[in-house]
Amino acid sequence: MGISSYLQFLISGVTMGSIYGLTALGFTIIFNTTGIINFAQGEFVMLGGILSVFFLKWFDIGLFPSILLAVLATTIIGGVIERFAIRPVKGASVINLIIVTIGVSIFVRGLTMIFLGKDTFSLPHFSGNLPLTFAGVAVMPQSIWILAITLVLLAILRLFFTRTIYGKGMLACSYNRKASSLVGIGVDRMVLFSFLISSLVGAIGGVILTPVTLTSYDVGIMLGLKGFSACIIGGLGNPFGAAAGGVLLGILESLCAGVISSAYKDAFAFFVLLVLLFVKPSGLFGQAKIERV
Amino acid sequence: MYGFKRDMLAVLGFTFFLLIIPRILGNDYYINTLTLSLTHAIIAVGLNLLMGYAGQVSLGHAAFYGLAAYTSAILTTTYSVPLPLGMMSGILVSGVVALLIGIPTLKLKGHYLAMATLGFGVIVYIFFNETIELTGGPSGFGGISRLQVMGYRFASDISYYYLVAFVLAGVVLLSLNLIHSRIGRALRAIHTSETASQISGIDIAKYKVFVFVLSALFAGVAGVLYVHNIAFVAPGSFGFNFSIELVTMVVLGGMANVWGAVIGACFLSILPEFLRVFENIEIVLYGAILIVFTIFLPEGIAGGITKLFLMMKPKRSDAAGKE
Amino acid sequence: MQQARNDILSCRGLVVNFGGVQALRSVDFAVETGSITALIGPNGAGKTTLLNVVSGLVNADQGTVKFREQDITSLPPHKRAVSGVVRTFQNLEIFYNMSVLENVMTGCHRRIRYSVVDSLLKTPRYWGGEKRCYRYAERELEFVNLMDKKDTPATELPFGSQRLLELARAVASEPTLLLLDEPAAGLNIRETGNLGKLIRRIRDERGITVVLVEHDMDLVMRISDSVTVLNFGEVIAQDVPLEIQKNPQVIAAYLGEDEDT
Ligand SMILES: Nc1ncnc2c1ncn2[C@@H]1O[C@H](COP(=O)(O)OP(=O)(O)OP(=O)(O)O)[C@@H](O)[C@H]1O
Ligand SMILES: [Mg+2]
Repeated sequence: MGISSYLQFLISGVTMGSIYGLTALGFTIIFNTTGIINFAQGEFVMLGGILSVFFLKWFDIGLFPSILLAVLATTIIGGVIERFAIRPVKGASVINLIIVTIGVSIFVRGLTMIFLGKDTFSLPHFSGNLPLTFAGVAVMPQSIWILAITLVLLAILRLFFTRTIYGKGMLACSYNRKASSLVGIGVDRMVLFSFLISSLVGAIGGVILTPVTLTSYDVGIMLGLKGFSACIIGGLGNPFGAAAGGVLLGILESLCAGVISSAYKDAFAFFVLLVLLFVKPSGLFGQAKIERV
Repeated sequence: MYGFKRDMLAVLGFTFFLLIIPRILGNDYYINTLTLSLTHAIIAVGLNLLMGYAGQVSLGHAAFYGLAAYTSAILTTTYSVPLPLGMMSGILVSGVVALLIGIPTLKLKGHYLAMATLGFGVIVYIFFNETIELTGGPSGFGGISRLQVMGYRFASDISYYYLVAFVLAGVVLLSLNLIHSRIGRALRAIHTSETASQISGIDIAKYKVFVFVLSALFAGVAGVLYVHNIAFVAPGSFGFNFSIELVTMVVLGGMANVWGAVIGACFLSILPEFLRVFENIEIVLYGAILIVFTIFLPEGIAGGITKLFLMMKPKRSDAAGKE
Repeated sequence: MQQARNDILSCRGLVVNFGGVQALRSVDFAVETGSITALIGPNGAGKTTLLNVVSGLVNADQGTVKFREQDITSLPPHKRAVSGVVRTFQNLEIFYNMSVLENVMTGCHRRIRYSVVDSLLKTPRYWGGEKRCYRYAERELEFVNLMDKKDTPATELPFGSQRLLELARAVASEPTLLLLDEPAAGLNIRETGNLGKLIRRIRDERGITVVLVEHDMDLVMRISDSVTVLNFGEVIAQDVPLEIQKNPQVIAAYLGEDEDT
């Protein structure tokens, strides 16, 4: 295999990896404010993609309006989930939180299946699907879209967390829940906000990915799982580590598919997860979480 | 102490009940459904030890069920290994794999375990589908011999039902015994406070791995019983949805309640018989059950019944707790 | 001088950082065998962190912890508990899914030893172990005067009794060194007086060395043999109670903050 095929793997790896990174970012935002791993994170990605497909089909309003609508709808769904499933179990044990988010995830998946069917759907590429060729390496325009949108989103989130009152509030919320409610930051509001942002981020990930990979009601499981693996690679709780972890995972996976076997591509993310849990559970970029007593 | 006699009586009563159900029903039509629900109950009781008592979620228990089923099926059919040996190996494989998965993940918090088991389940499912020479791929393979012990062949459905009923009764009794011991207390302690458990001298990592492996072994037992009853095996029975169904059984029946797991398993396994549209809505239903029960009735059906009982009965004095 | 006494616990140069916060900066802390040693200091001084390091729940970035001449710095918490270091918690860590009696029986975990097979099959060894465990637990419940509540679910106990329950659970594991993190917080005057007597009895009758983190100065001055004062992660004084009350540095540290506990 020549150098160009490795470059090809690298590009498709970064493309997929961006989505894993966005999913991982979504996990992290909710984890940081609530201590919950939201097992429905992958469903947000699924919803973003599949709703775009259907809005495009139903309303005939053009690709970009449909996409905006899908992202908006998913964000609202994220808020509804927080309000009606997560808030009622506030303060419950870890296991109950896990069970509720799993319940939510399969509930959403099931409803999608019932209403939108079990088929596989595709979304048009944002700007044509003629590959651009650089030095013998083909790059789909959609890959460039994915990369660009991911980078812009990361930059915005970075500004949000470091510059705005809300963003800082959400960080305070994660550092010390009791104290932040004392200084007047409403924890409930922050948690709702974190669900909104992470469903938004997830939906955008789903939207930009779908032209490349197709979508169906059940793509959320694998995406969620890989997003979580990316979180572990980046160190759970570290938002930008999570994004970097996603890209790394994407590249590794694409190399594995190209060099070893594509049948076991999906098994690979889990393998990485387990190996990391074995040797460095705090992730490559994170520090170990210390439990407060 | 601890109502041991009460447990024994309850298990005896339960066994008796299981034995007379076929007579009550009067026809054989439901026997296979009953056998299957008792098989599921075996897994659910084990999963409840892990989830309900020790507070650790597994989203991949279908994998342990499947690993045992496939191992035994392949060994006895493809490699003509004697049945008891094949079945033993099946159960053992589930246990050993659980040990290997459990050691790294159980050292960490509940989320890691949940996610790792979810991934593990998905991977094993992929494996069942992809290793076609070994497993027959997505369409599975048949011609697996039915259970035979010391020359006795469980040929009729009803004989198989009795066998599974006895195994379930045994599993229930062992679980009750375990719960009412220092090990059971340690597991329940881990559920509420890992810190306080450690301070009481409990090696939490060891106990978590132990109960994880034990629950995988129960799933393994169910797996080999299943495969040598149906005589056919395909990946579809061991996917993510079944793992979730198992979790739903435990939550529905009642976490930290051995009988609850049995109730939940039977309920969810028999329900589809009455709900013809079930196949399409099952996943939504599981989701709804998980959400609604966790919010409104975390004790599940069994816990709800117990509460009702306590409310109806006049309060007894403290002395009643002793034997 | 420190060599002359017989210390059950001696910590040297403990440093703990949480991100930017230095919770402990080079703390030396020694506890004489058989003493009741109080550990006081303003909020956020690092008292709980020090107990966490001694009980193994937090790993020190630097420094060593010696217990009965053994270096236990890298021992996990449950092994420390087994070797005799046991504690209670500032924010109660009761097993809320158990009855009062079961809580204390769980505390006896390390004192009864029978195997999984014994429990699965309820062998005589199981019954013997359980009977002993039950007796131990009853004894501690008598000790803290909660015997009449033994079958009550732990959640239903009033707060003061939950503190006592935690104490009973800790004592039930037969420690040699007992670390109490603000055991009187949230108790009324009568309950606090009662607690003081219990702590004394734990030392006098059971021979258990006690480390007492407490904000209630009356209690501290009444029952402790020695007082260590932490401020901003540093030991600023270590003396007998009477001298501590007069120590200008200690007074300054306490005046520097509002007493709101
Ligand atoms: N897990 C943790 N993560 C981050 N900071 C921590 C953690 N535990 C303690 N701290 C910080 O370390 C410092 C010491 O805290 P510690 O709880 O030891 O104080 P304390 O003396 O017990 O106070 P109090 O009297 O309020 O109980 C505080 O500034 C606290 O905010
Ligand atoms: Mg403290």
